[in-house]
Amino acid sequence: MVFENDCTITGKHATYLKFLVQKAAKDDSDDPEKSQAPLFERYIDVYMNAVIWGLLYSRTANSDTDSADRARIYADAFANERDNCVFLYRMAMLLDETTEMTPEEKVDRAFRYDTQADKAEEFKKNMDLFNAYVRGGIEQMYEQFTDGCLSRDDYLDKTYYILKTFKNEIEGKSYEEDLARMIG
Amino acid sequence: MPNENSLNKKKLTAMTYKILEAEEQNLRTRAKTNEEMVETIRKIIMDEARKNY
Amino acid sequence: MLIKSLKMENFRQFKGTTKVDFSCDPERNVTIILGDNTFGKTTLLQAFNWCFYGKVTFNQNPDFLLNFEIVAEMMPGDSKNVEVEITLIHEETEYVISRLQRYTFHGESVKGEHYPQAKVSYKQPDGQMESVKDVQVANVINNILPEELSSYFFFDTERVNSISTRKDVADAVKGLLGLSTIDSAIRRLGKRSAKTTVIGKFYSDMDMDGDAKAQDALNKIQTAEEKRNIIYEQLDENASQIKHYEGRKEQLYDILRDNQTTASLQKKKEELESIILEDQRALEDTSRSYFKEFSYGSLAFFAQPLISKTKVFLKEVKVDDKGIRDLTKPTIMELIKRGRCICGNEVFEGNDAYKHLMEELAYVPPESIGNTVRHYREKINSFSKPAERTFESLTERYESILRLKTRIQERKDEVSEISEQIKGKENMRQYEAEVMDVKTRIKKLNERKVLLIRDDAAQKNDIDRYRKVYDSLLAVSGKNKLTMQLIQYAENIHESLTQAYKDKEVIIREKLEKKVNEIFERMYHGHRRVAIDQKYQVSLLTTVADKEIAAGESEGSNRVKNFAFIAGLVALAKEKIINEGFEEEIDISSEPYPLVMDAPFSNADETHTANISKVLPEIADQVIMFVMQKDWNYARTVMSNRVGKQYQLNKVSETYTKLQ
Repeated sequence: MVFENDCTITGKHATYLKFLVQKAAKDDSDDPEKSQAPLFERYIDVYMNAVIWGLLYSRTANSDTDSADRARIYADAFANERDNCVFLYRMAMLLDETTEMTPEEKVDRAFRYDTQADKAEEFKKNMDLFNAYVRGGIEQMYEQFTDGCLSRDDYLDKTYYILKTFKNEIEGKSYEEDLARMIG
Repeated sequence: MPNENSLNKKKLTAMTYKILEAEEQNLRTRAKTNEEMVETIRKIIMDEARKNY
Repeated sequence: MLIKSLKMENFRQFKGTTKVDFSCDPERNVTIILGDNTFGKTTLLQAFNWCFYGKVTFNQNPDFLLNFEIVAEMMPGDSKNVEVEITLIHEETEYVISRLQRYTFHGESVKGEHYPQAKVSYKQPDGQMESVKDVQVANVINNILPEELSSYFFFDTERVNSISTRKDVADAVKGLLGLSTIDSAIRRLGKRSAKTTVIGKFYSDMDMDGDAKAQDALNKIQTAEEKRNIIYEQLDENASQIKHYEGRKEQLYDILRDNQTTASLQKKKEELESIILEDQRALEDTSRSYFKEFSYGSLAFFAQPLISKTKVFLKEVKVDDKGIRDLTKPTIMELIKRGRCICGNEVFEGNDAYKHLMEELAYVPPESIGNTVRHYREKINSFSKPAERTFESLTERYESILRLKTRIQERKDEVSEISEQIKGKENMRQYEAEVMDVKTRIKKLNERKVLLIRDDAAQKNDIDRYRKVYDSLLAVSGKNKLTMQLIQYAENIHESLTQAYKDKEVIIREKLEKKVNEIFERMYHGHRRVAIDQKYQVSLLTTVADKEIAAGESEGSNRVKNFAFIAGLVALAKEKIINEGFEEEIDISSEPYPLVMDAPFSNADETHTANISKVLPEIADQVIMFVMQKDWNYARTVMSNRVGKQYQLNKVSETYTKLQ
């Protein structure tokens, strides 16, 4: 079954992941302007979002072994979010374009391999792919969300900027006007 | 209340003058003490009152 | 008073014997002593001061008066004298005042004796010189020229304090203008209850025929009287304290009023700061909520395009999902095992029900993914539903955060501004506390005043009561009748003198004011008027919009005001003042006074110099001036016909000046 075990992120991705997570402060009153990005509550939140970002930017990444940093997501964390994780897994398998599969084949791998015992090997490949998207997504998120941010206020502005821009873009906004204005 | 009728105006004026004269002189020479001056004034009044002329 | 001559012996830089005769000629009444600064003018003036009062105000070695060259010549054991002798005429009597200080070479150095004494002698009508007793010397000198006023007559232009700030001028002026005599007589006549006074003594003389009660009553009267005196002193003290604190209270009110804005600004600042704190807390909360919501809602939000894509993909792809919802293989096997279907039909191997069930197996997971896909489709539809809400909510929070931040910053700026404004003035608390304290004190003092007045009234009652007792107990014997009459005379004189004093005092003050203004106008051309109040404080007034207010004083107007006051004083002292309360004219003639001036022109401009030099000789009987050569060149033309004697100070060396 999928998402039953602990998951360990390594290397720089671990570093990024940890950075993106707001550590519950022991004492809330100290330094409200923490330099750490307080964007996500849990590791698993990053993990899940990372899949999206990896898919949005078709970005995958290999495991990084250069640094010894580690971030572990525990099985019970997955248990809480199992539904979502499975959902994302299937989505990734459906939308991934890195193979020459036909749509029907994609449907199969998205919906069958996780439960069929005889597809264990294929399933593993799926998970590798999935995790590659996770890593790629982590990189993407790290770059986009932390660029130029120092204080918590910076993150506030940045996240909102990303939200707004994203909304505009998915609603089909064109940048012609803005560009024209800018060029003058 | 002083009884004006029994007081002789002329004597009054004389007394006043002599008192002031004594004061002036003493202001100059400062020869007499306060007690002495008080006594001097007393005498002036008494003498003048007693006078029959 | 006219100064006849000044003789100095080894006084400061005047080595040996120096004698100056002053012009007493009524027409040529000016004596000029020329010399530039440091030649010895100030010293000459100080010689007067020292001779009269034993005080000098030199800047260097104020206590050492012996000429330095003399000092240098002294051997151990030697002694030399410093002496100043002044001959003058006062109230038609010639006086000689001299002060001597012995300097002895003791041990290592030359020292002067402490407290050098002055001697005064006067010429009697028969020509004989009569000494004044030592104990009376100071009094006599003070009567000739009161020390409080001396600096006005020995007019040191360089060092004069503004006349309007001198406090004991009042008594001194009165003395100078002849009121002391009357005042003294009034005091000495006294009253019945004051046993050391004339009337008191008469009262005590009343024969009591050994009546103990009467004696007792008299004692009580006089005790009560003494108590009253003490009470008066205390009331005086109390009053001056109240005045002091009232003054301080006004000062504080002024400060607080000026800084009313400070107090309210401070308050505003505190209010702002507390609002800022609230806003900051709100900001903190909102920020936290924002991130929390972000963390929670970002998944659905950012997944939106992917969701769309997936939807499209799944639509296009043929997915067999004919299976029955949530029907699984185990369920089917269970039914088969049961042998009976849900609908009720029997199920056994080979029958229709069995066949259908077996067919269905193809559509249930894990063989069929139809269900899963259907599940999936449902989830796709619902997954991103919250996205729109999330965005709205985050937008709201974000905007609120921005607003809060702006507001906080604006308020912080305001606080800074206010802080700037009230910088350094923040001790209003301290002043407010002081006001409370002062008010309390004033209250207490007033309470005390009430108590004192009440006590005084009680004493007065006692006096009246015992007076009645005393009077009624006295046998009206012959002796007492006479004494009674004496008392009446004395009291009558007392009354009339008191009235005369009052009247005269008012007249004198008005005359003084008038005279001073006359002189002032001749010397100063501007719209000012001199006013003299009951305490003989002098101020300048000017008329603004029909109201007279205190005028700002320039150095010029101030100087002229001071000149005018002195000149007025001097002029008035010359006049005979006639007391109209008596049938006979009693001359309390007041003395003429000289004006002794050091550098009167030094800071005056040409116009003032000319005015001053014209007016002064006309006002004073005698003018003695120390003038710098350069200043004299101006004044000489105006004044030369009034000069009776002229001297020149020659500076031989730093330590030796000759007068010729």
